[in-house]
Amino acid sequence: MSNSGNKQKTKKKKKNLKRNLFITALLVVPMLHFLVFWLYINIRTISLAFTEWDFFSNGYKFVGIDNFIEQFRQFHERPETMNMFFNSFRAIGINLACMILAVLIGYAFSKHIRGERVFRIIFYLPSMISIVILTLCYRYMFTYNPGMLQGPGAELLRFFGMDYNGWETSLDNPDVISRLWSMISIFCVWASAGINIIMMSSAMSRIPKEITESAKLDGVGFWRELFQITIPLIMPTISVFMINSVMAVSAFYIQPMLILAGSTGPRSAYNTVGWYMFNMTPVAQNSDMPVISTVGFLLTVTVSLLVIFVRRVTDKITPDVDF
Amino acid sequence: MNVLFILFCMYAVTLLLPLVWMFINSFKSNNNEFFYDQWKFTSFTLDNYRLLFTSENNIMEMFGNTLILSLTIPTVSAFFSLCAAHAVASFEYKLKNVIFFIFLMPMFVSVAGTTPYTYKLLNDIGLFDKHIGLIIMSCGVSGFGFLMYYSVFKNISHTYIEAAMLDGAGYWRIFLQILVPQAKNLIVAQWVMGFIGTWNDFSGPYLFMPSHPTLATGVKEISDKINMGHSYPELFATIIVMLVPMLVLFFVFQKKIMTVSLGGGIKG
Repeated sequence: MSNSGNKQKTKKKKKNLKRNLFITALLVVPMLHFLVFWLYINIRTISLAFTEWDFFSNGYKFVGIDNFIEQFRQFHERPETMNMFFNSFRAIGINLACMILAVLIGYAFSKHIRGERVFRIIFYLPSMISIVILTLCYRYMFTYNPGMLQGPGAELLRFFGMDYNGWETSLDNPDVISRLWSMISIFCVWASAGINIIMMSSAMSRIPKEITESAKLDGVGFWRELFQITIPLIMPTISVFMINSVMAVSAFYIQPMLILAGSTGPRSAYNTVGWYMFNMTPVAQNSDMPVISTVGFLLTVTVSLLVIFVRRVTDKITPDVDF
Repeated sequence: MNVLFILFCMYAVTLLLPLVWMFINSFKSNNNEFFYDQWKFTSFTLDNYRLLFTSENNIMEMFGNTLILSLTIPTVSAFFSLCAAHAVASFEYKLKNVIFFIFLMPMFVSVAGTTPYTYKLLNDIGLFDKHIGLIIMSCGVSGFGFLMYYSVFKNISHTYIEAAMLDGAGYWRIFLQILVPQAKNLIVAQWVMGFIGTWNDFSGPYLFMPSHPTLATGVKEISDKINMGHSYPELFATIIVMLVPMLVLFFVFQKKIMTVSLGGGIKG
């Protein structure tokens, strides 16, 4: 009796071993990837913010919060160093505009606007196209270079009486800078609005039919239904989207960089933190790493605080319903 | 509603016109002809396209590099995402919840300014400026794919798996022949999205394999040299070459793509 019990035990043990080996095999590469390319890199980047490159010992030495003090001194003495932070946060405004458009378009789709199917395809089209192509195309359409290229977009603006002279990034004129930024923002919204429509309209399609139908019977109009029924009911999706848009801040650079042909402008008027990182990546020496990490850390902290804040706010205004 | 319809039409037109503009002008023979009349086929020449495939414009190399990355990265990433999802969804063991959490971490926590250090790391381990380096870097578990596969595997009943085990199927066979096919539709959709994303990716190849241009980085290089040996029509022809495969994919997989796409803020 006991003999066969033992046999069964060893059999079970063997089976367990096989199972554990299998689980390990499944997990080993994904875990290694996580440990090296996420955990190690993140910890290393953050910890470098508290160090300084020591030329004598050829290594980093701990200096506490000196880098941060130095950074804040820079902010104080040369306010233009704050520009790239400020510009990065434009991404939030752009994302919010994209979201409002996506909600509106998704809502019109859910009401089966004429030509819905064609619009769905066309509006999604930019998501298939490389941002490099879209940005370059926009740049050349709005290039104004008399005798050389006068893009149709630039011609149109001038036709409507605007004093438009193309992408003059070298001018240190607040009007020019704010006009170029609004053109960049319009481009970003134009090119990105479509990606989010699907997310919004699939959230809307989950709203139970009974709710919208009874609203219709009660005589609720098109716009009132949007603001008082649809938007509150898709609040969870909106909340996720808002958090994503805050987190997108650090990755915002490709559009201004390609539109302005790589020129960050006078006193880094067009620079963003993402752009700074992109520029520094191939050229950074060991001694530059602490400064880069400090800048990154400051942005990470700000973004994290904002995410927490957004989450608090959206949680408060999200109605407590399940469907 | 009618106002919206008109606005939608206008938005649709602004989305299509630039493509038409580039298409028309990719057949012009030189800059001057393009500057003179930008909306008509004043001349029709295939020279720009021919030039792309013959001259030192190494477009074939760009095409090859783009294809290598776009085929491998989504495949490897899908495989490891499936592995991770299976390991977390189908077995009970200690630390399971921790591992589940770990694979979702990159989705919720992002630290700014890690690229320079990643660049250094790739240099140190000798993977810099190689296809394999970028592939290894980008083939981790994708949080979104992981979540979707996880929910598929979680819903497959255990009796099904146990029956297969009694028939003598090993773990790998059950995983690859029973579980993975259940997620087939999702895998295809994710893979196509990954393919498109990699095809269009700019900063990855630009930073991490500078001497192997892809179409996205190549287009940027040509535009940088636009008045130094390259013309606008030539640039537009390159853009069209890069664009066409994506448009074909889009129209073939349109339904699939549009059901899995979940947005994510500014296009990047």
